[in-house]
Parts: sequence; C-alpha cells; structure tokens
Amino acid sequence: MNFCNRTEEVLAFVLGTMDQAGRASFESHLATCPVCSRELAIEQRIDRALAAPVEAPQELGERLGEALAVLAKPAGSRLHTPRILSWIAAAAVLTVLGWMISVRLLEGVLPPGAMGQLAGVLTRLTSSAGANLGTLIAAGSLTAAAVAIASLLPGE
Amino acid sequence: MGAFTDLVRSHSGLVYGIARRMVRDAHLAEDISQEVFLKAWLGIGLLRESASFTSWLASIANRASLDFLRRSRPEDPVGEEADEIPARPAEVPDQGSKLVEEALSLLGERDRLLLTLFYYKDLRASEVAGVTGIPEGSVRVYVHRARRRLRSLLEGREDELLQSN
Repeated sequence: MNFCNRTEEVLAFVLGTMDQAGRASFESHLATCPVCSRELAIEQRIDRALAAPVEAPQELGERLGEALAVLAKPAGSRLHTPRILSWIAAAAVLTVLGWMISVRLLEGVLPPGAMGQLAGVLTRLTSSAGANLGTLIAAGSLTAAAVAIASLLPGE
Repeated sequence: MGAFTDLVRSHSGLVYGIARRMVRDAHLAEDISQEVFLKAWLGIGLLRESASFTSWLASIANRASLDFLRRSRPEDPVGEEADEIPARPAEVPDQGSKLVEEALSLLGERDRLLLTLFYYKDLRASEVAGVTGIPEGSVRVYVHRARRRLRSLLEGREDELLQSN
C-alpha cells in the first residue's frame, strides 16, 4: 500500500494545529498506517532541519568585533579628522573676513592698479585653499600683512 | 559596548540565517549581517523599550536582504514565486539538512523568511507576524502552506532524506 487518504493530515499533526480529538484519532491511525508513518518521519526530518540553529561563520564574528571596536573608540580619537576640517573651515571664514576688512582699509590708500592686483592674488589663494591647508595659511598670512600695512599707512 | 557584543553573539545566527536564506549566498550573507549589526548599533536608541530586540533585528536583516535582492534585480517583483538567482548555499551539517536547504532556496522570498523566523526558537508568532507582515492569527496557516510547497520540492528525494537521520 502506498496511498492513504489521511496523509494530508500529517503536516497539521507535526505543526500541532490539530485539535485534541483530531490528534488522538490520527495517533491511532498512525499506529496502523505505514504510509502516514513514513510521511510523518519525512515531515519530522524536515522539521528538524528547519529548526536546527544556524551558526554564523567565525569570520563574521571577527569582522563585527573589529567594526564595533572602531565604533566604540573614545569620541576624541574618532573625531580627529572632522576636527581638522572644522579648523580649516574656521580658517577659511577668518581669511575671507580679513580679506574683506583689508579691502575696505586699503581702498583709497593704494593706487587703483595695485589694489586690483592684491585682490586677484588673495582671491586665487583663497579659492585653492580648500585642497591645501598650507595655501590657506599663506592666504591668511598675506591678508593679515595687508591689514597691518593698511593700519600703518596714514589716512587721507 | 560589552552588552551589545553579547547581543551580537547571541543573535548572529538569526541574522546570518535570514540573510543566507534570503540572498542564498554565504559570502553575501556575511556582508549583509555585518551591515545589519552596524545599523543596529547606530539605531539602537530608536528601539522602543517594549519592542523585542530579536524581532527588531530580524526586521533589519530582512530589509537589508530585500534591499540587496532588489538592487540585484530591480525589475523583478517580490512575491511568492521562486526566482532564478543561482544559489551558493553554506555548509550544512548533513545530507538531509542540505536537501532541505536546497529546497528552501527554491521557495519564494516570503516563504523563506517565514520558515526561517517560525523555526527560530526565540520568536513568538506575534513577532513573526510583525516582521513578515502576515496577520498574527494566520501565521500557522501560512507556515502550513509554505511547508506544503517545501515538501513538494522534496518529492522523489524522500529516501535520501530519511537515510540522513
């Protein structure tokens, strides 16, 4: 015999979705039906395979450990790069402000041609400063020097 | 940090298991698992106290896996139908488990997720429902259907399955 019209009930039996009476009845049937008994063994084998715990590979644990260790570092060491960037941004703002002030101070002191040349040099230096901290410092220094010169020159 | 490391240790099997069964590739599953735990680390403050960490993590793992699948084949809808990505299943302990994993990989995404979550010991039906979007009262019905489909995929392999005990 390789067919039984109650084989369809095996899965409900395994999943525990049968009511008490149905379960008792099917248990009695199983005792006498080799088809359903075999199907029960198959479903139980599938059940075990599905319920077997999955082990994550050891490498995953190691990779996660490294990644989390980086995240767990003290805030100061992780913020090193952003802090440099904030210094650069502050320097850029101060440079532009200094440039604007010096232009105001030098207006009317230097001849018109010299004023235009100085403005061109400062503009070129500050526009390239985003990629080069040294250039930014040079622009800031030049601006400061311009302000100092302007303050030493007699007013009109 | 130590507490989170403990959570990673105790949940890595679940996250890796979801990712592996969803994307059907052991190496990609590792990458996704790492992404999931980093997201969890960054977002743990958003977890409501009443919510289960396990189901929250399972949701992140599911979303990350689905995102990966959608990026891989954006034209295909996510549904019941099996898809065509060649599987690279991970090592499994015995031939019977290998057969079941192979059959599982041929099921649709929702069935794969549902069976993975349903058989994870620490998840309640309500949590499985929350992650899968299936009504709580229907979880067992859906599991029953998924198991039927799984069983049909094992048709003709029964002897191999039984001999692997």
